Amino acid sequence: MNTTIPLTLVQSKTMNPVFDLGRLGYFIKRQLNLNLNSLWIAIVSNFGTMLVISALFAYFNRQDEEVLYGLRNMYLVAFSLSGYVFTSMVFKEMNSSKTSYAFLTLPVSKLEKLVGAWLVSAPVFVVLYGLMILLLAFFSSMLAQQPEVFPSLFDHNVWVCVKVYLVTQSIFFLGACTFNGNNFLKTLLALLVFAFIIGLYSTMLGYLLFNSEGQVVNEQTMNPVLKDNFTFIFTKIIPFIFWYLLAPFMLVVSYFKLQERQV
Amino acid sequence: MIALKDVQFRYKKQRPLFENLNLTLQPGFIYGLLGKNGAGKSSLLKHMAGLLYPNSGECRVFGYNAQDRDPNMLQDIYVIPEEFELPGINISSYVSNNAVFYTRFDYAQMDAYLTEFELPRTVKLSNLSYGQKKKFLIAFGLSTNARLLILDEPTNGLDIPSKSQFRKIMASALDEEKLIIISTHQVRDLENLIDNIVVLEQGSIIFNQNVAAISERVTFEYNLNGVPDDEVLYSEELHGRRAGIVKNLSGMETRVDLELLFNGIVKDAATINRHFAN
Amino acid sequence: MEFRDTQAIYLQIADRFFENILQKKWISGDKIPSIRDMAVEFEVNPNTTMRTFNFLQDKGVIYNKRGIGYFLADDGLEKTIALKKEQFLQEELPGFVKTMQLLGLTLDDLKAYVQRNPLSDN
Repeated sequence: MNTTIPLTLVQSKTMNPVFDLGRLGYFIKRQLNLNLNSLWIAIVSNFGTMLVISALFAYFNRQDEEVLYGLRNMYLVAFSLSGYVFTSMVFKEMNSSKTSYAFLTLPVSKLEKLVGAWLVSAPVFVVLYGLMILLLAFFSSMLAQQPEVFPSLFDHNVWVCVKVYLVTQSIFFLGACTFNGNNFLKTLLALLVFAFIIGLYSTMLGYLLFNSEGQVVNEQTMNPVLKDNFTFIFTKIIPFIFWYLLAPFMLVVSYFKLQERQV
Repeated sequence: MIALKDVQFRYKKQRPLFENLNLTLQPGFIYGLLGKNGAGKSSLLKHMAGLLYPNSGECRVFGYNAQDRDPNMLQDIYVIPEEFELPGINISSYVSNNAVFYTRFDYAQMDAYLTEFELPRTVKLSNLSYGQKKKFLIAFGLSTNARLLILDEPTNGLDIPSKSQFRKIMASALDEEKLIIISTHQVRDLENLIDNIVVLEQGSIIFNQNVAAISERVTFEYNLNGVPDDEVLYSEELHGRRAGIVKNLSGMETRVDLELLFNGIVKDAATINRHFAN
Repeated sequence: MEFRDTQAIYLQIADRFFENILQKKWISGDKIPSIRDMAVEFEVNPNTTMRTFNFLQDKGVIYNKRGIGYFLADDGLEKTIALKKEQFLQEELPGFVKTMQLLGLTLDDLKAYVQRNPLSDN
């Protein structure tokens, strides 16, 4: 080769080391383009399966409004499940021994990698899957000859489902940052173990607090102070933790996981 | 510049791999990292790219702490590992999605390399042969104009013409601000390309010298008959004769035989280093 | 390029330069290829070809015009011949003479041989 490459004496432009919107955009574009094939396969197979199921149910149960709601619920279940699986795979490149180096040495900051992956797996996913559900719901209500039901399918339940997804997917997001491969199953397992430990702990606590005194937990006979405490915990504290603290906490932990990540 | 200071490192539940490892590398050179299998060559390279963190001590690359993986440092580093996988997209698409992160990426240079290596731009990367994939990564890595290039066994999987192309391209790519580090056990492939020999053995750097200094200080002889014993630093049987490393007292410089040198260093680094220190 | 086993690489590259000069491929005042081009051609480290250039410059065979490149000196050919002569006498002749002694050949034997089999002049 006879082309001589000129000496690059120009210092490279210093980039913002923590957060740069342009770079975040390029990162998201890269992540989507590099996985375009598997994304298309996932979208088409998801959409196709649900289309066939919807067509069958809607066609054979024309005029039955309940079937449309049933189908809608199926879409929501599929939405959540696909969302969890998709979120679990959002750091696939980092979790495979042959590609992790490329992800980790990509000149994008940890915060951008985190935010980019979260944007793709939460809001972007919700919008895209939402559009798909919209199409499917429209299609089934037309096929069931009840176009007037279509708008009412998007009731309060849908928004609760989306909100619950946005919170709970953060658990799978953390799982995606933490485990090396099979992230979805490992996260599920971790959740089960966690639930088991909490269950065991509450049982033991309950046993210590009440059973030793022969007290049965009963709303009528319960100590009123204790009852107020419980009411407060279950109606105020736990919902607050769930809706406002869980997801940010999971994302912060995910950030530290990314920071600790080695090959 | 790369500086590893008192680096200690062990993989979980294993004996320490590096103990008080110190190493300084300067731009303008191609460093050859040599070591036996399992000596930790790849792990050392991973430290430089911030892919492994020392248990104690530090690894600084261009002033950055490598493990922070600051994007400004990362755009100045390109790693080509021995084992890798490329996505199922074609070269043009890969370049347009990845080049943007490197502010000094040179598209014209990339085109020239692709032509030189005869790489098809429209075929999916995942369908290329291992050697072609490697050539693609080399082309991309050089086009990023990253100042630090880390190559783990780069000639593995390359056929003979490709090895020659590789040497030509590396020779043309080196300039005074580039630092290229190549780990290899196929010494013959890269013998004339490497100009600094770094030997890693039992958790530390036991030798780090420039080839010019080596050929000034020692000669490589293939028949030690008649050479006084006190001038011989290392000897071994080669084709029925005694070959070895001899103190260079005449000033006549011989070709540096990396295999012989490596064997000598691994056998008795202390003797050879003492001679270099004098 | 296949390198021989014994001599330092930068000197072997210098020998290639000498060949080009002796064969008049390069003549006085010619600009010679750059350090980098030579490194690419011989597939060696540019720092090695830089040693070759420094060595030849020290011997006065080539000279450097800052920012333009390296040129063959006016007396480059003469200097090369002198260097190669010295090299022949110092490095090759002793081995040659030793072999002659081992085989019991005399200079007269050689003279007779050369007269019988005129050497081609390349």
